[in-house]
Amino acid sequence: MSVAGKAQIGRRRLLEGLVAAAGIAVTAAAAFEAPRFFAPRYAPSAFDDLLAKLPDRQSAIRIGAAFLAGGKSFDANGTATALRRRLAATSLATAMNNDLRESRMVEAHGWVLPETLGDLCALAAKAG
Amino acid sequence: MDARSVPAGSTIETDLAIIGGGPAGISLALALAGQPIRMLLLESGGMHFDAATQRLYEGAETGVRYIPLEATRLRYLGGCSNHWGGWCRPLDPVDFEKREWWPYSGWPFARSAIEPYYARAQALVEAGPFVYDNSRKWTDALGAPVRLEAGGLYTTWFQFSKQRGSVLPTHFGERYADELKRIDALDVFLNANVTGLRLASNGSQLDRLDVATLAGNRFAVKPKFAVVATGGIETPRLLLASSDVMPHGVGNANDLVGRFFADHPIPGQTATLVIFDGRIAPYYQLIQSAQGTNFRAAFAPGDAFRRARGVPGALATVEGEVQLDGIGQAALAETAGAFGIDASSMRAFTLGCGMELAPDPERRLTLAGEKDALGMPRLKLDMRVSDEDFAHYRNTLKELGRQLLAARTGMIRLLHRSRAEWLSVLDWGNHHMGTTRMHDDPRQGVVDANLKVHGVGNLYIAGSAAFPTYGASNPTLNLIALVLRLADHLKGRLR
Repeated sequence: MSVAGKAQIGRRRLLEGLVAAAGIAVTAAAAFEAPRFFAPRYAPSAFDDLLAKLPDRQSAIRIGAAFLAGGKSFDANGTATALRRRLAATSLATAMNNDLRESRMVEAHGWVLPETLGDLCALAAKAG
Repeated sequence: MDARSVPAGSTIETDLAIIGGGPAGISLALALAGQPIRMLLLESGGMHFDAATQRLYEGAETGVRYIPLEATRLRYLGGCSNHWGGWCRPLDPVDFEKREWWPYSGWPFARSAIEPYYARAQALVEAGPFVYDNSRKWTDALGAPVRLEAGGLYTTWFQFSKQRGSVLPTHFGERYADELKRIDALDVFLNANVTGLRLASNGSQLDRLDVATLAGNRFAVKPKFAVVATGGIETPRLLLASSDVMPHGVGNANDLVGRFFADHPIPGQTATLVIFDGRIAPYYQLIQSAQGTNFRAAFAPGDAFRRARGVPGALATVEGEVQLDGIGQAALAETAGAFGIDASSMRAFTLGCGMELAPDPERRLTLAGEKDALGMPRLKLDMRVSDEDFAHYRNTLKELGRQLLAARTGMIRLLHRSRAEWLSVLDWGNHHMGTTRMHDDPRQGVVDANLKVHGVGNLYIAGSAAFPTYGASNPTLNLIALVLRLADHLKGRLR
């Protein structure tokens, strides 16, 4: 085996190694970015600041649709204004606690929910 | 004794005639044992089920679907205790109160009037020590009750009649037949159907009872006092059919007999209960045994909540485990997520219930034209449930949902909203109540606070027919306590 032959094998291996490394990097990046890439995308809405407080927007849309299907009139903009005021200085969990303490509950497909959560879900459904 | 062997046309004299050998009649006879009086207990059936006797119960039903009248009762010694489930729970104090928001409500006395009789009633139903809501001493070992935020509902307790092998509960005929035989002053006539309450010509006293058997012989019983203990359906039938002196029937001068019929609607699936951490003590779902009693937990609205919110009694039981559908999973994810709760171990169950109906004079039993084999007019039931009855129960469950969420324990889905949805799951408890209601005022009740028929000096009615309002508790324990109170009253009158 000549020295030149050794040098040729070394370059091939180096190239193979670089290709493999690049493949791993691409795969890793894809795996890292996939959830974001495949996650539902929502059109911007006037309620995004409020909807960001929801733990799971897809679930919220589903509940909100059921809530709206209950037939009660729902003023989205008025509700959003009231929610912004309510949630300005308090967390969603605290606002829900306050609802329960004051018996402010709503129903979505029969599920008994704190009013704030029900309203947020309804906004999520309106925003789509 | 077998009434079929009594010579036709004869008259038997006695101090006290008890008409009906169910839990009320048997409890009354046992309570009066040892008194210096002669007693006669007249039971339509024998010791066992007989189809021909049972057919005497046939009738017609209109309105909301109800159990056929011949299937909702049993006509042999022991009566309805031959098919009861053994569920026992005392009525709540609020059940006795007159409530302004609850038309026709109010007993003529408070629960304290029958309180002294509960322990003996409990012994008769063989449900162990009288514990109920003082139950923590035997439940702690099995796990804590479901944590609820302070509010409308709380965990309450049923106790159950004694278990014999795999058989629940006490069947009064079978259980007490020997004890009845041992009472010297008592004659029990089986196969003895009372077909008429014959009043003296001025209507103020019961003169005699007409008795008939399916074998064809008829005879009379002439008692000093009589107690009708034939249940919430047959009692008004007998009173209404006895119209020779009082044209509208005995005790019916004010057209109240047969009105206000009630039972407990017991829809099997009314809500879905989610417990976030999946942990629920076994006594919610299944009967448990400890310290000499069988018990099971339920959720009930407390008296203060009922007064404040104007809701009737209700008892919600935890039933089978269920899987959540897509929207249920969404509701759980969103709610638990918003509260920062780990609900990965959650479990879901259906809630059953027993609910109290509002007293309704139009929910009533009347005589039909058709007659039975003994010539007695059959009954027609007009069954009703109002939308408000369902709405009240829904509001109660909603409060339970609030308390569960506020305690971070769980959440609730109410399964039914429309009347059609409720009616599709409706079942009944076979608890016949209210048709000869108790009230101090003869214009508002058939019997007075001592269970004496207004205007008739020596005729009484024992049993849940006298309940003016019903509560949500199963009636057997309560009606026996009421009967034991009647026994004390009769001891005074029979001396």
